[in-house]
Amino acid sequence: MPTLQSGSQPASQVLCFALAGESYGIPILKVREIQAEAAITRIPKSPPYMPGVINLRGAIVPILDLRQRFGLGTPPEGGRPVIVIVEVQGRTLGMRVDAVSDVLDLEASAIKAPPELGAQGQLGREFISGLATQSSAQEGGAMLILLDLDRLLSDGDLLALEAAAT
Amino acid sequence: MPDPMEQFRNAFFEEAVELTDRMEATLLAMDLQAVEPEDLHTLFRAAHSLKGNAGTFGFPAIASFTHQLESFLEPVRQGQRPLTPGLVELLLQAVDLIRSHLHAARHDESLSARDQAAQALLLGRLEAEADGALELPAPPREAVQAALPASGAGFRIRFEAPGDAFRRGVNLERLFRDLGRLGPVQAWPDLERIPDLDHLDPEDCHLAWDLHLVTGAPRADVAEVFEFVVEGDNLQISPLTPEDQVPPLGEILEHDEGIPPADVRDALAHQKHLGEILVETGKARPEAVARALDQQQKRRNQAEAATIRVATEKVDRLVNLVGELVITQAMLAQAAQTSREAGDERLASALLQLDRQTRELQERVMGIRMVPVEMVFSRFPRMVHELGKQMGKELDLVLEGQATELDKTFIEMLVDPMTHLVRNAVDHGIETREERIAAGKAPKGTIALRAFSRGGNIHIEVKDDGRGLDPERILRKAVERGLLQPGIRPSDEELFGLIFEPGFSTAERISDVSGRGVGMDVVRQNIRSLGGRIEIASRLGGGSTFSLILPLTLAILDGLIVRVGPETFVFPLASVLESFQCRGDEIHTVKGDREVISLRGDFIPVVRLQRVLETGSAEGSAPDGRALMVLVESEGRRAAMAVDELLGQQQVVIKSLEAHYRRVEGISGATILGDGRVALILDVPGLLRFDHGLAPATP
Repeated sequence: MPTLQSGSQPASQVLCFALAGESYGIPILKVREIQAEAAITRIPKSPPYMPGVINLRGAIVPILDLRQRFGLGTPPEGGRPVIVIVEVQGRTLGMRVDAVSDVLDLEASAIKAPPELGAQGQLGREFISGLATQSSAQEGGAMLILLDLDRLLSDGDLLALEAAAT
Repeated sequence: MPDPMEQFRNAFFEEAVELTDRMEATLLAMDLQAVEPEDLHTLFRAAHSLKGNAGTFGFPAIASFTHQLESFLEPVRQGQRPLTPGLVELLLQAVDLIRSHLHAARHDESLSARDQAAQALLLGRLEAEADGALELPAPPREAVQAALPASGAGFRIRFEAPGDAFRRGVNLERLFRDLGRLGPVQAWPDLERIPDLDHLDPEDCHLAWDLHLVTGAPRADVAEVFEFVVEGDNLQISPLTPEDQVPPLGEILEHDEGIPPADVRDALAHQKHLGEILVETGKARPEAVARALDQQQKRRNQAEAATIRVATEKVDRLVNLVGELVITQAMLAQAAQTSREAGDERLASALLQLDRQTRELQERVMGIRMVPVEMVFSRFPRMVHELGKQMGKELDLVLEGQATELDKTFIEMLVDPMTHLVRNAVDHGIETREERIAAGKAPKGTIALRAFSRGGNIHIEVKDDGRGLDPERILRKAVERGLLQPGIRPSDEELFGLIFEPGFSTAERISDVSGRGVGMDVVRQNIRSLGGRIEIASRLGGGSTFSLILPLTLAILDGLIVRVGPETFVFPLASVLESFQCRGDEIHTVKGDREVISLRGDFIPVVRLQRVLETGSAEGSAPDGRALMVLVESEGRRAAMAVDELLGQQQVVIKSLEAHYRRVEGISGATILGDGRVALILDVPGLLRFDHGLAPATP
């Protein structure tokens, strides 16, 4: 079960990014940097959501395409995807998203447990750690989907790929 | 923060391992007919350093054992005792014991009872061997191994009863009765070990004896008497001077005048050093002696301080950094090209200089990681010696090119595969003496290990002059095991390659040493993981040569950069034979889907990289079906890889992909090109397997 932060906890900072018109957030502490779309070198025989690797100042970093991962289709023409480099459990990985928008302070009380989504969406509920309304919610009240990176990146599919290495 | 004491301990163990290895190597390399004094010094110094270090770091058991070794080596070093084959054999055993000691100490254990007994026995033997060797001809090795014969009129025995002898109910009297059965015994009790009354525990045993036993019985019989009371080094047995030789004064005093041996030892210990006597008699000034001793110590230290120890990790970081520098340099060079086209030469010429310096820096830094192949080879004299003995085969081992340098990582990873190949050569390759004579060969088999560098690769050969591989037998077995379809006759080379398939073994019998059908596939695996390959040359009845061909280093590779579809890939140049262009009508189809190309009379399978790597096609393919082929070879298999463009040759820095990503069939790693893009390095053996399955290519 995703942990739900209780009201007594202090504010946390999240990086917000856009993906097919929806807003997502990840803890800023996991983010190492943000790269403009770099040249991705394709790795043969990889699933579509693992499009390849990039050169990050001499290190080779694999890319996870979040649109593909969540079944949100291909990015629109003329879009300028960016790569958010995150470090999770000692592994460095780039996540390709449509655009990065904002860094937000979120009160713990603003975070709600995700509702039961069932099998409606491609994105399983297990990757969502919570839902929040953006503090600028007065005008519009856009919803922010908080991702559980540890779960997302240690997901069974990815693990199966890792296992193939041994 | 690592525990500093732990660091010191690690440094101690590291150095101790090196010292023991050096002792072993020196012992094995020595020519007993013409012993180099320097070798003797090396042995002595190694024992001495071990003793000193073990003492400093609190390993008294090691310190005491090495101290005793040192005392045995001292007269040898001084030329007072000849080094006999028997003594060498015993010293080799001592090296093993030091290793057991180190192993135990590393795990905070004490030496096992078996090793303790072995140590006591060994020390006794060493003493006997060294003493007996004074005038006697050297006993044959085998004899020394089996049971040391009594070399003289009897034995000098020093026995210290174990402290708990009384509590254990050991019947000490019986020991003497048993000894008496072997011959007349002369005994001197040594009461020095008994503490004063205040500290005496009456249940403790503090007794010790010095004994002279006159007997013709072998030493093993004497040792057997004490079998149940030997603990550590409490028993020392050495031969008395044989009757036909003049014994030392001390021995006559003991034997004829009844002077206790303890007193004689004491007196000997008080003998003065050369310097002291010279000073006392006024022949030399103390300062002069001190200076001379100082000088001696300095020279000893110099011999040992020619190298420094650096953590591998530090070197690795340096190597990586230089790798980055090379890439940056390539990027700058590309930028300079633009500026030169604009008419400015200054940047270009400065860059040319940078290029030279970067290359040299790179070579130097890589050089730090390089160590002589001797580090691997050095373990084989011992191993071949033991294996030969174990299997009753007479063997010569020839080592060549030991100074050839290899990446340190290779050294560690080469040990297992080479051990396996050498064992195989001894077990399966070399025939028995009778078979060899019957075949008209020299009765002694020869195993040669050679290392040399050729064409940017390091070659290591394991060669034997034994029976060679039998292609027909391999063929039969391969068909039996379902590795080959009946009726197909691949080339001999391809057949030899089959012995690396898992579960394939041609040995008719299973021995301790090899022949369980595991291993050869692991050998190939290991060599592949180093980016190398194995080639076999063999003639039935004439011996086999296994060649391990390795890149100079793991970190850098000479690559052929190619374009496939819209993507860029790198072939390791080592597996590329040539590249050529061919017309569409030179490619033939076999069984509808498999393509082959005729090249100088041979049919070579064609691998369409666009298809295999799923690159999708780009505008590259010419309409008339012209194709650009890169001819590659791996383990005796060749294939023509169809590519779209050759982009050039370049040294590339290898980056592991697996650290970041799953393993991809056909891809061995990645690199970063001058334009900053990642390019994948092709794994040629993998591509061949990938395309053909496990069965060898059918031409």
